[in-house]
Amino acid sequence: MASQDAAWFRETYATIRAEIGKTIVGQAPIVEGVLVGMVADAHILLEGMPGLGKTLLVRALSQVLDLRFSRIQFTPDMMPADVTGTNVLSADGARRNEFRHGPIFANIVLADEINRATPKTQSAMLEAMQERSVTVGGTRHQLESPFLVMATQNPIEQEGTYPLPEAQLDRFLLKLLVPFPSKEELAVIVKRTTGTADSVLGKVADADAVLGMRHLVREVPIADNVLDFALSVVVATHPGGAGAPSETERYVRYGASPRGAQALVTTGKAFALIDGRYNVAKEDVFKAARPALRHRIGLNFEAEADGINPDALIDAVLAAVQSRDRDPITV
Amino acid sequence: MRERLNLTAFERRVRLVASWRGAAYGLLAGSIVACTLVAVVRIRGHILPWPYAAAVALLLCVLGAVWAATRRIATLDLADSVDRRAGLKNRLASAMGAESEAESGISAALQDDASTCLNAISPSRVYPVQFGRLQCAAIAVALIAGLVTLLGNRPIVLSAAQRARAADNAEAASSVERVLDPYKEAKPTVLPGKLEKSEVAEMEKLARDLRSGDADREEALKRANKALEDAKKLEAKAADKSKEGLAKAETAMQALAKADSSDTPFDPSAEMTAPLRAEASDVQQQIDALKKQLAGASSSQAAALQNQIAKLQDRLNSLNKQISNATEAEAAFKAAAAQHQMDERQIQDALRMDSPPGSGGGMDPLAEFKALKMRMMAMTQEEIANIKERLKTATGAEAERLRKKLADLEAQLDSVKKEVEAYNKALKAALKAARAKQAAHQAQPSQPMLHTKFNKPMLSTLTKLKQALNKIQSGDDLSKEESDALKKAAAQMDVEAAKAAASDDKERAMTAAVLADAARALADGNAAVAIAKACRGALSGMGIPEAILHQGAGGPDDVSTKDEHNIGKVNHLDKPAAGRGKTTPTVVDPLKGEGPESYIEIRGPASLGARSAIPYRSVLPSYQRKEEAALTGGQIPKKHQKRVRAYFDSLNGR
Repeated sequence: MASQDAAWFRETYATIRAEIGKTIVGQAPIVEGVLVGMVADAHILLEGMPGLGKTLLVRALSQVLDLRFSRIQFTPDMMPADVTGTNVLSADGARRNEFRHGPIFANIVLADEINRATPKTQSAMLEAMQERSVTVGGTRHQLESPFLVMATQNPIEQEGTYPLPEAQLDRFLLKLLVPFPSKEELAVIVKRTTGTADSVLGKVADADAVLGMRHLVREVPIADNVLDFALSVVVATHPGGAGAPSETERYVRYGASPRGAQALVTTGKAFALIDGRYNVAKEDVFKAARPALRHRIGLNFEAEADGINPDALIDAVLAAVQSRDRDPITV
Repeated sequence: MRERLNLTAFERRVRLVASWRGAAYGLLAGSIVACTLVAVVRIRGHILPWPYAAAVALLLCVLGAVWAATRRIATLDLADSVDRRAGLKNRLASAMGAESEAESGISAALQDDASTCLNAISPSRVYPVQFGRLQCAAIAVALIAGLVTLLGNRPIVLSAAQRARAADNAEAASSVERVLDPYKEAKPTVLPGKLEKSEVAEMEKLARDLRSGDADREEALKRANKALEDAKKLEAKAADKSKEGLAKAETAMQALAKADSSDTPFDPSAEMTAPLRAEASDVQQQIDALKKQLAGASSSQAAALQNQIAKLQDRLNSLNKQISNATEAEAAFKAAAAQHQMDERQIQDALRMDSPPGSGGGMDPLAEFKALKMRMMAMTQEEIANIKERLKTATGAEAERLRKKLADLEAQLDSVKKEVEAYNKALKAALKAARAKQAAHQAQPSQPMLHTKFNKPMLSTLTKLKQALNKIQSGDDLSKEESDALKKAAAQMDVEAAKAAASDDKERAMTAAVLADAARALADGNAAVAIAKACRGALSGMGIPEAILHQGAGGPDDVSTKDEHNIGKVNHLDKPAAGRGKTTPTVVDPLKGEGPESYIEIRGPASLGARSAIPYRSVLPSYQRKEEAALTGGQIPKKHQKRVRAYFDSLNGR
């Protein structure tokens, strides 16, 4: 039975992937990351230059999954109520308050340029992400499941922005860096978007399918030694942590939180199922390390001065942990 | 219930590969240790023989292999290892960890997946036995260690003084080895004794130690002195033991000597059955004592006592039967001897009759009769001649009376002549018969011959043993030839004892065994002393101060070593032929002091016991039945069958 479920998972995933591929050219890791976030019941932070298809990806995803989609373009003057919704007097003259749902009430929410909102608005948004509910006027409003927020950030134009605080970044499962497409991919994109043909995406799955996939991901077992490996990676991101490489000691201000470990394992489980396995392998942890940890590590000024980015540091940490991870039977 | 993942084959393979690796580590460590040992020993001025160094390396190699093969292997570790080596992406480890919840859900699928992957791989592929860098390094280090060991054992790394000392020691070792060469022959003519072997081994070790530098010459001499002391003590013990054997055997020798000195056949002494009678008496006394105890014993003790009495009674019966058999045999023998004597007397009588008067011995009545008749003839012939002379001158009646008397005398002479002729005829016939009988006796070995023929080797051994014991007790050493002769005699006695035991002759078997033991112990002890002396002689001939020469267990003042001062004088150790050190070959007359060895053979029963009153004729039939049974049953060896048959034929007059 389980093997059939796993097969269904792979088949569904492949179908969704193929369907999205009709619209999104290239960006395979990003598409995969978004889908992993969806089946892992977590939120994704996308960082990339404008025009790389971030919004298109999220829209395509909602179309393929037949989910309700909303887009919030964050600006500095945006208020929390603009996100969550607010109580207004009813229009029928009954002099009663009526809750008007904000854009957060959707299955897939695209929080575009989240770093342009004020911390207050960001906080309201992130609270909703964490609690899966919104409280307005003393009334708690539950968000519909599945609920997936995809926030985007622009790495340039930092003037007049409010970078997300570390505690709030931690709530995103993965941070995906959207790269610039290759020339070939760009050519395809241009051809598709400048012609008359318009690709129509089919609905290949629904909310129930997404929930089923999420359940299956949670069932994937992880061996003690793999878990130990994942935890070693997280611990090694902390200065003074066991097995921390010299790079950690030199460049890291603070390391990954326990949510980082959770993110590694959950993402690993999703990767395992996608790969057709029923267990998490160390390769999955490797694969998940960069997107799951890069936004959870705080680098110091020296790192900035030396041009060290979180990915380089994570690579150093992985190399250090892997060097200690030896075959227990030496023959 | 889902089948658990079985990693036994992988575990076995891991142990095999681990032992291979452990052996390499062990060899590496062993070679380094051996190398260090060689260096340390060399620095201290000695030589570590290469077999020891090799043994250290090999021992550690084996230990390494065993240790690695017997280490505990955790199942999860093994699963993790197989995952890594076979590229299973942690399937086995995850499946092992999820075994408890494997009945449903994704864990069950994981179990199936892991099992499929496991079946697709072979242990030998996952854990190949490789000849890698480690093994190469181990062999390289072992070779270096071997080189160091061999170089360390060469004099090129020694100083001039050390080299000279090593050469000196090697020369001494060679001398000792040359002394030992004759004792290490592939097939010695006489089998070496226990003490001799032990002494040879001790001296060989001494030579080895000298050669390896573990012992210098002074120490070697001390050890040789001590070995000599020990050997002498053992020789003294052996001599005491031999003395006891000699005393026992001498009793038999006296009996044999008596038999040798008389014309009568061997008179079996009651002493031959004395041990049996003494034992029977002891057993009887024990039975009596037990019977007394039985009277006052409880019921539980009574059963044990009765059982004991029954056993002793059986033993007593057996002893009595042996004594009775011996007695019967003795009676039969005596009857045969009496017959023999009677026959001898008849022959002698006949021969005496044929001898001329006055030729010695008492006059026989028949001879006197013949002499009388001869004298009568002579007298008659003289009278006839006288009458014929007187007839020439006589006339008338006187002549007629003389003629009548002449006719009477001539008739009487004819009568006497006829009687003498008849007597001569009868005598010739009697002589012929007597000579034929004597010839018949001579053709068959007479009964007395049989006895000494069987006892000759024992007598000879006894003589040799006595001579050897006297010599040893007087402080002299036996020559190698004498020692070998004793060993050969002991071997011969073993054969005799076996023969006697086969013919159920316990007394003879016992005597032969006693003689064999005594001779062997004496020869063995003496040989050990000879070896020790020779080796010490070899060492002392190398220019060692006299004071050290006698520093043995007892020190310079030890009386027991004082008679060894001349050992170094007979030293031809540079000549291999003279490698026996002090031992000087001497020719010894085995009968020296005992006079010429003479013996007669007496044919008699094999088992001799006490005298018996049973007539010979009455036991002979049963003995002959036994003889027939033994001959037809193949109990008598083929080469002795003819002799046994002849013996019984002679008893029966067949």
